[in-house]
Formats: sequence, structure tokens, C-alpha cells
Amino acid sequence: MAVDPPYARTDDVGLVIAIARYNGDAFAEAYRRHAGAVFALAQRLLWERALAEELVQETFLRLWEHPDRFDQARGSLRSFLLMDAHARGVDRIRSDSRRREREERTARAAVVADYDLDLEAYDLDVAEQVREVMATLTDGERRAIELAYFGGHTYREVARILAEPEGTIKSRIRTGLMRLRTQLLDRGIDGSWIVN
Amino acid sequence: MDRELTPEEITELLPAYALDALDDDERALVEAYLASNAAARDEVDEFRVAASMLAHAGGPPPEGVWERLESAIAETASPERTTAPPDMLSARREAAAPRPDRRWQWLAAAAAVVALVFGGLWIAARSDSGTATTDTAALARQAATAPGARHAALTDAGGNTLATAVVTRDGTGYLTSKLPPVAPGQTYQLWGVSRSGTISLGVLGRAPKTIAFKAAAPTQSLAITTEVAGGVPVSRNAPDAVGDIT
Repeated sequence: MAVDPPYARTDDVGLVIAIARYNGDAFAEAYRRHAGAVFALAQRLLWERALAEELVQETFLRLWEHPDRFDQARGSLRSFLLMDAHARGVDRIRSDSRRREREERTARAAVVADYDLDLEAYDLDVAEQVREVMATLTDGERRAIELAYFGGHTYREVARILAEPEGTIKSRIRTGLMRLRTQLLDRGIDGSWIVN
Repeated sequence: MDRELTPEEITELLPAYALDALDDDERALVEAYLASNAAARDEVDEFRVAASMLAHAGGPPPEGVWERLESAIAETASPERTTAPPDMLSARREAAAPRPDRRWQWLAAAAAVVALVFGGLWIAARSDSGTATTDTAALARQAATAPGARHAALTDAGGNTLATAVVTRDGTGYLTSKLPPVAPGQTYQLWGVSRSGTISLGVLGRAPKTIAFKAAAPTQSLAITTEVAGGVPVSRNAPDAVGDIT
């Protein structure tokens, strides 16, 4: 009979609480649940596997060292980790101009490709629904959001890349995110990713 | 920025801020605005959650990273920490006592009448099923007669004893309860009260029997509240039972 790993039945809030007690088992469980998602985002942001791995390591190390930064009232643990990784990843992109130039070219190519998410059984349903909702956004909304979020561009840069007024890009990001959120909520997906 | 932005202009920037898509100057302006505007913070949180959904991709964790992390945390991990990669974990073990006092700075501002502050905890994850109860109960009986052991009777507002606890000299405690099961989605939570504040000592589960906990030396009283499953950082609920450790 398969045996659950320690803390397998503990929810994410409980994991963070235990991590605050320097509990390595709880930390391992948090890693098991969410490192794949953080890694996927990191790869999409940084494009280089070694850099993505480094970002994953830094993200989880910050969770270990500063679990108090997680506030359950402001979102799930996975959202928190993804936000943290994203912010650090964007900083890294912007601090490296050569990589930046390369990624700008790649980002331009990415926006004309189909929206694509790496799928894993655990996340399959949510990811599929996110993909479906993203497909309902206008091309302008989707491109603006992708360039900003996955390309690590400021909205001003997005405006330049797409040759659109800055105000238009701000507006598209807003309406796109609002529609994304509303439609996912309508489908019962609130981003909580509560385990157990 | 060469001029001040109006609140309306800053509000327009919030979605881009949530995507980390502002330059440094604008980001600083937005963060200053957010510091004094709770509604705007809520709005940013919603945008950020929506953005994080974009990254809801599965996939395995990267190889080798866990080993590096494990090495990095080795100096601070508690004795029960795992040495196996998280996806390889198979050894179920008894929960060990936690390291005390990793303070949650962000909780100190709780403005509730009874502001109970998390100090971190370990989860008595199996207390619901009772699978860990037998050994723990035996340990609790031994502790009750140990030299220097202190005791507490936790009573409700009517004076009914709902749980008893024993705390040994080294701070190891055992709580034995006859608390009625709480509804699904809820849990009991144990708190330690001292002059310096109140910290969580553990999430007890829906129907705790006997569980172990760790209480720092200054702990003077124990309290139990009913909370949402998983526990809460700050309880605003009146205690179900309280008792001094004597």
C-alpha cells in the first residue's frame, strides 16, 4: 500500500505554518506541490534552464527563510510563489540587456503562437480552463498580457513592440485581466489551489 | 517621472503593476499609493491572482534543485527534516517537537479583542483519524507523572473541562481532549499564552484525542479555538476552552 509522504494531507496554510517551525518535511511537501509550476514559469521567463532552476531555488529559499511574507488573505501559496518568482525573474531579465534583447525577439514570436501551457495531470483541468478563457480574450488583450507577464516587459515597452499607444496597452491589460478573472471565477476557479 | 500622478492615473497603472510591468519610477509611485489605500491593494491582489493563473502549468520540479535547497536549509531545519527528495518521500514518521519561536512579525498588528498570534506550529495531522493516538496517549500518561510536570485543565465558559494538558520540564506538552467534533472545514487550534504574547501551538484537527505540542518555558496558559481548516494566523474567535498551567 502506498504511503503518503509526511504532510501530504496538510493544506498549504498548514505547510507554511510548519515551515515557520523549520520543518523540513513541510517544506519538502510545499516544494513537491508547487516547484513544478514555479519552474514552468521561470523557464518561460528566463528561457535558460540553469537560470530557471536558480530562480526556483531562490524562490523556495525565500519561503523557507521568510514564511511570514505569505499572507493567506491575499491569495494561495501557489499564487504567492508564482508572484514572487515572477517579480524576481523580471528583475533578472531587466538587469541583463543582452538577454533582454534576445528575449524581446523571442517574445515577439511567442505572441503569435497558440497559447500553450505545459500540462500535468494535477493541473490539467485548471490549465485547460485557463487556456480556454485566454482564447476568449481579444488578440490585443492576450498579446499585451503575454508580453508583459511572460516577456517581462513594461507596458511602455509592450506599447513600442506592438506599435500601440501606451494608454491602449494599459487598458488592454486591465480589461484582459478582469475578463480572465471573471470568467475563471464563473467556472469556479478562484486561484486558491487549495490542497486537501 | 517629471510630475506627480493623479490618483486616477495611478489607478490606471494597477493592472500593469500586478504584472510587474512598470518601470522603477512608476512602481515606486504605485507602491506609495498602495501603502495608504487598502481598496487599491485589494484590487492589485485580484489582478495578481488572475495573472498567476496564467502560470498555472504543471510539470515536475527541476532535477537537482531540491538537493541544493536541502543543503541550504540544513543548518536551520528541525531534526525531523527529511533527507529524501520530496517526490520520493515514503517514510511516515511520528511528528517531532518543533523548534520554538520563529516569530511572525506580520501578525503583531492584530486588532481583535482577543488577538491570538501564530508562532508557527506543527500539525497534528493524524489526530483526526486517531492513528497516532495510542502512542501519544502512552507518552501523555508517562508525562503526567514525570518530575516537575505542570498541568492545565481547559474549561469552557460554564466551567466544564473540555481538555487537560501536561507540560514537562523540557516544554513537551500533551493535550488530551474530549472536544466534540467540529464541522468539516473547521479545526481546533491550540494557543499558548505568555506575557510576551500568544502563539499557536498547533492545529488539532476536527476531533482531537491526544496530541503532543511544544510550549516555550514562559507559557502560562493554554487556549483552544475553533478555526477554519488549516488554522489561522490570527484568531478573532472566543476561546472554546482556556486553562492556566500550574
